[in-house]
Amino acid sequence: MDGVQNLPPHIQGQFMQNLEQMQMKDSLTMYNNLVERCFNSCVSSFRSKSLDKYETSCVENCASRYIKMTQRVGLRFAEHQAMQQKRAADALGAGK
Amino acid sequence: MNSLFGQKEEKPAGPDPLFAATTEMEMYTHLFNNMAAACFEKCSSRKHKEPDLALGEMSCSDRCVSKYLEAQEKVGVVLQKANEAQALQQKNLADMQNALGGR
Repeated sequence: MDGVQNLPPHIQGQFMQNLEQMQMKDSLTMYNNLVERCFNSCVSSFRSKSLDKYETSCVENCASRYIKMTQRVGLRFAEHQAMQQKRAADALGAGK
Repeated sequence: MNSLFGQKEEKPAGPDPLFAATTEMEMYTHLFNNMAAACFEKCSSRKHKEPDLALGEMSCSDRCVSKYLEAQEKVGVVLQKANEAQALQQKNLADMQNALGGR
């Protein structure tokens, strides 16, 4: 994340603000996508107006599993990034 | 952003560091969202009987992340080569036109 790390300090404040706005927008987008995904996955009949108990538990489980998977993916992604930065730093150090 | 375009490192000497940083952050956000969606689709069963992930699903998602990032690197390399080839082609075309125009 070179662009982010090399920001001059007076711009960092504005960047953090942008980042906050981005995160807010992103969490709303994620919420919408999650609802659509779980709805498509779990609900297939329209015999009644409300969700039956299977659909309800399916939707709740789907959301819970997606969130857990997202957390796990985030963890692995951060590990991968850290490893890559370490490799880049090592390569830089070895080249000197 | 050295993982994006293969081995070459992009120096953001460009116009606006804030824009570059924001765009980079957006790129990582999209990458993460797409990766999570793809891995969920590929690794979790449709039944959703349990609120927790099974062990198989967890190791599947670990491997999915690893493969996705590797695929991203490879695609980046292909894209970079294509860009270079196109730039070379445009340069050749411009040179040819200059040569023709010079006569």
